[in-house]
Amino acid sequence: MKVALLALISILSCFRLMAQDGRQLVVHLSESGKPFTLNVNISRAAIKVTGYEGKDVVVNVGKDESNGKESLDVTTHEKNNEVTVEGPNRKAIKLDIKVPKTAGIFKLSSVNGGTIIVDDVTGNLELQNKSGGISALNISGSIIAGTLSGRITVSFNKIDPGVPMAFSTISGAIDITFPANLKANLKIKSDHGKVYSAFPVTGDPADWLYGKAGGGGPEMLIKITTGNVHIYKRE
Amino acid sequence: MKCEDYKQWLPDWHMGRLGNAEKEELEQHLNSCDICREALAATALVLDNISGLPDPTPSAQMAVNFRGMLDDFKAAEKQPAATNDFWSRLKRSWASQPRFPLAYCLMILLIFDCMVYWFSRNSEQEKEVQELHAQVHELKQTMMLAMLDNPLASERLKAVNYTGEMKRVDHNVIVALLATLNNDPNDNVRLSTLEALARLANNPEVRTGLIQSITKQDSPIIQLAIADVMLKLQVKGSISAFKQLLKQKGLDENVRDKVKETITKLI
Amino acid sequence: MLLVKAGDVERMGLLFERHHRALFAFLFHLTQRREASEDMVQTVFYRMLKYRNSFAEGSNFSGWMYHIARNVLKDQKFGSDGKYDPISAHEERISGGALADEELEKTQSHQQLYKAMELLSSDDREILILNRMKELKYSEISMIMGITEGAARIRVFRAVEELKKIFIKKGIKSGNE
Repeated sequence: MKVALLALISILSCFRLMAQDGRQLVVHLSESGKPFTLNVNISRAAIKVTGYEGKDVVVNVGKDESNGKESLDVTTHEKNNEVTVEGPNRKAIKLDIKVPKTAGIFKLSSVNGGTIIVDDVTGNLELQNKSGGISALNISGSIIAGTLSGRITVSFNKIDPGVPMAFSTISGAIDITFPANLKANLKIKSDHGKVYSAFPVTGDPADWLYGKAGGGGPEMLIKITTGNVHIYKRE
Repeated sequence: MKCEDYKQWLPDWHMGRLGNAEKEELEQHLNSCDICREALAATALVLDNISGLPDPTPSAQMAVNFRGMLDDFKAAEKQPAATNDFWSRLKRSWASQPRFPLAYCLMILLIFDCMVYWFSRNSEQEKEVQELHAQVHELKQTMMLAMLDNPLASERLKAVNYTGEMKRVDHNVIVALLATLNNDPNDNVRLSTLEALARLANNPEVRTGLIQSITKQDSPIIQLAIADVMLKLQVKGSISAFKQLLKQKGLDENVRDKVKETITKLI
Repeated sequence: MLLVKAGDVERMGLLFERHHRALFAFLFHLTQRREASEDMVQTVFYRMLKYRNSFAEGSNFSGWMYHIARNVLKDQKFGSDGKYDPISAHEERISGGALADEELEKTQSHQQLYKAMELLSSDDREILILNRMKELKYSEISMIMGITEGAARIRVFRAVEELKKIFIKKGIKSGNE
């Protein structure tokens, strides 16, 4: 009886629907409505994560670009609300993942799959790319984002107070929009480029620029080697 | 009442279990007693750590087993089966425990840390306060080291940033920071650690560690940042390590140029 | 609970739903063994069903539940002197069921805290874990431990002081390694 029940549960959590362009994997969380974790660490995946009104994590896998066939080597597993998406190392794939809007921990990394895109989610984001940009818009929570070559574009609806953040890239640009009531210590450097910040910063332009927003708070580290930095205030 | 007696109230005060009268009395005493305030800081740290233990999630199997047990029990006792559909009324009624993350503990300690320095005037008290202060410092370092292991990069970042606020940094902290610089899976945490270590570069152990780190890094972002730091601090001892780095195959072009420039400027 | 006593055994399900997570957490923090804790939760609920007639009117349910839980803990063969046995717990972690991975995920800081708590007496450990639950009143904690409220306060205080000493000793040790 137990075995049958377990088998039923594991089948349900890998339930697949034939979607129009590719496959859809629906992952049920052990405890819907509670905080979850999403891990995606696939070298050549174009990762897109969007918040939606549902309770499950839905992974839409794009068709294999090289032969137009279904990508069968993307798998998901879930344990105690931690969802991991795994995929092939050397194949370019597109992942369009929908996640609940409840708080989550997101650990997304890619090497050269393209821009990592996250939209409208809540929680703690760890985004790592190598040759590609990072875009995280309408985020409530905190972000640590790094890439080697690409543009980092971030906008916050709400910030998790007391949590330090960091944004770094070698070449590209960094654009961040913080809420106007930000309380943080800014530490910004662009080796070859301009820094524009709506929150006042001062310092030796050849070194780090420092500033306190809202009287100060956790450190926001922003670093780029070649490119400009824009820090905007969102009223 | 003496301090020894008041100290017994500290855990209750921190957990919000003291009655109003006792609460006021204790708070009045704390206003003028450095020793008890220090003791409170340490007590709060311990209690918050215990509160901070994450509650495990019971497996889905438990409810199933309970159901089985209940059914067996009913059968055994020949109770008339209730037709209440228990499963359809399954709701989440257990709110999650309030938690005090390590960072909050460290913040409390920092506040008391500053208060202690401000208020200790009485020289008799001062010795005891210094001792307690050393104890609290010890606890702080232990906690901070533990935080460097946290699976969340933001927590590790917090730990690294705390070293910037410590008045003195022990050998174990330096070792931990160097280990983080060389091994942390997150580029940004390593970058922040490099910055924290750069602030401590007066310490010869830190300088040696930084030089050794040059050939251990594989992320171009860190390699570039180390070159900047070595140049800024004029650490000529790093030249040979940089020359070694140049020999590495597949070295990022940006890094190659920067390192060459750094070597030239250091010589 | 009174309804259960009156004969509506099915109501136990509601009590289970409401309380099993906290009970599981309590047992887990004291033993660090997942499967054993899950089993003990079942045992506690079974005993509450079996001895439901001894539940006094006006009594507090959680107080009664944790009181039984402490007895269930004592009954387990966790070591000859009732102390938590770290070796067999470690073995369970290595060989343990499908959920062994979660033990590995536990961060070092929590491990350190558990290790420090292992060095306390079982009564001290239990009262600290009870104390950690803000929804338990002092009167309930003292009832669960079978001592007066004054004695409970002193016990918590002493346990915290003991833990401070252990922390500091361990902190210095781990620093020099």
